[in-house]
Amino acid sequence: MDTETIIRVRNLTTAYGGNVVLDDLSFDVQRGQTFIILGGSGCGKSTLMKHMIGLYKPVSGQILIGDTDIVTAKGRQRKDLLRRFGVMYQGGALFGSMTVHENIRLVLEEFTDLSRDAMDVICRIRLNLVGLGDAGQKFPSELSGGMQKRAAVARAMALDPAIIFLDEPSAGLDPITAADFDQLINRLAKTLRITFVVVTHELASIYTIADHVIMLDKVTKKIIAQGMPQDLRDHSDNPWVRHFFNREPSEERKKN
Amino acid sequence: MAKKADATRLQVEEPTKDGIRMVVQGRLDADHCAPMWKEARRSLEKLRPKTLTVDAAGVDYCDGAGAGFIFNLREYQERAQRGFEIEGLQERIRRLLEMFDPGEPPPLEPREGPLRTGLEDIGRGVAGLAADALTLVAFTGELTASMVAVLPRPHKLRWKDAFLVMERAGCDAFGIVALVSFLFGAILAFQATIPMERFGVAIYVVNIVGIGVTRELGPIMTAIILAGRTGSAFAAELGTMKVSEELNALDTMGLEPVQFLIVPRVIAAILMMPLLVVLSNFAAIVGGLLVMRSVGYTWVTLIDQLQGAVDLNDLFCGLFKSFFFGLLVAGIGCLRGLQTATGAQAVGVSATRAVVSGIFLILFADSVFSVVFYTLGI
Repeated sequence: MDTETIIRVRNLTTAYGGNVVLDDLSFDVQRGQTFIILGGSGCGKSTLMKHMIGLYKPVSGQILIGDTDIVTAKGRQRKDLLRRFGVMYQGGALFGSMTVHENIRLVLEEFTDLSRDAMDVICRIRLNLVGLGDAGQKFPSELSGGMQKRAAVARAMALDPAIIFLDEPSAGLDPITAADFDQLINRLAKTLRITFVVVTHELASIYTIADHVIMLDKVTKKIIAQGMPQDLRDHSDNPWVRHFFNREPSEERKKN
Repeated sequence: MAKKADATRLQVEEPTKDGIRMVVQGRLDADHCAPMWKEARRSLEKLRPKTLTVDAAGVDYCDGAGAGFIFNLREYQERAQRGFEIEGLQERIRRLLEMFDPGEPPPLEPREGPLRTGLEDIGRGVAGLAADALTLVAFTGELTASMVAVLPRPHKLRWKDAFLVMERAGCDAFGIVALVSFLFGAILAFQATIPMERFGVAIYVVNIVGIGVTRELGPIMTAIILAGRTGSAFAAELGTMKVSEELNALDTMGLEPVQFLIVPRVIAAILMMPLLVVLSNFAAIVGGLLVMRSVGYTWVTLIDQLQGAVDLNDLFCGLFKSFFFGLLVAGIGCLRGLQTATGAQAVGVSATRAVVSGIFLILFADSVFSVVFYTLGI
């Protein structure tokens, strides 16, 4: 399969107030790849993702999705860019006043000229794909946490985006539901060549879905390791990275 | 890759006795499907073919929207009990369609709608009111017990929180209370002066403003402002805490939400209300007297008239009520916060209910006080 770079992050520096969170990061995400952003608590994983989807403005650097920099994109250009990716937030972020079906249709109404009938079929396809074929008429509050996450993926997929960002997709899910979720990601990545950018802590999930992992470090605020998770676990020069992948306590790290 | 879009098209061939054939080519995505979708549905509605055959050999890209297009055509034919066939699909797209199958359309569930009868609405409303009254009684009991429990151990109260609420509910409201009361006093005096001047008794407007404000309008206006500013804020704060499970956390940590969160708020509101009422009375009377001064009365005449009209009894009646108004507004605000359901809307609903219930309770309590004071001759 030919490779095509779909996201380019160049010299990205981000800060909250005066505190630098990420310092001069550069990396590429390939089309069809499941790209994992990993790291300890508070290292800036979610911050990085929020910059990549254009919610936050960095101090400096570029985030190119295709050829467009999301940092500087405005108006029509930004709207076109937003259409190219979908996002699943950690808690689902479904609109509580709408049914699941309406949550998905909302995106289609905003971005397409399809008839209502057409939108309904597309909504059903999305819901069926994530295994929620019979939950369309339910409100988010009537769904379990796992179902809400799947509904959020269905909404993220509404416009057939090239990229889907997932923030902690497995958090709070039982092992079977989490495994189902991993399978769904793999299936979508392989069949539709969707690029997934995933922020997660779940090691079991990472081994199942990851094509590439970057590991952020809270101390240096940079990428301290990247590659396949199995390689990082077994061959990383950095002891903390090995500890992380082997779920071992790290004495030297506690001092930080 | 976008250049292929130019080749996207739908061609409906001449109908035969067996049905019609639609040739689809190019990219089947949301942008290109939208016009094709309409055209295809129009053709089907017009021709009602026995069998629809979709020739998809020329389709080189298909996503969820494209799959939706094809399945929609299939469903349309199946619903009309007519045939549907698709041919020429590339293997890749065939696999994709298998993955995207929307399944059976869900049956329409009967939902509560405008058909609910008015009678049913009345029944629900009455039952809701009764349940709400019961909750209010239970909450009053719980709050009273918690406040009494604090009396022998005042150090147990979270004074830091209480002072913060006093600042927000009291000090920060000084400006708006003073302004609204000043304007209200001025308007009242102005409206009363016009008819009373005809009878040559305009000086008695001072009595109307003085007694009306100190006994009734000062406390009521201040309480309504408190309900709008502070009652709604309490409901929103506690509602958000409930939605984010902070109240559950308090419960499981062995801390009583009522004692921990509500008692400091209620005490702060009770203590600040009389101060705000004094300010409101002063501002309203100044407003009224300024209008009277502009009509031509001297300050000495006005002050003398005021002293004769208003005595300490009137002032204390108003202040006495203000404690209860503070208690009601803060209490109902907190209760509505605790009753918050789930979802983003719920907090807004609680804040609204806090204000509406607060204003209702203020006026209800005031009417009870009026009867009691009249009976006692105060």
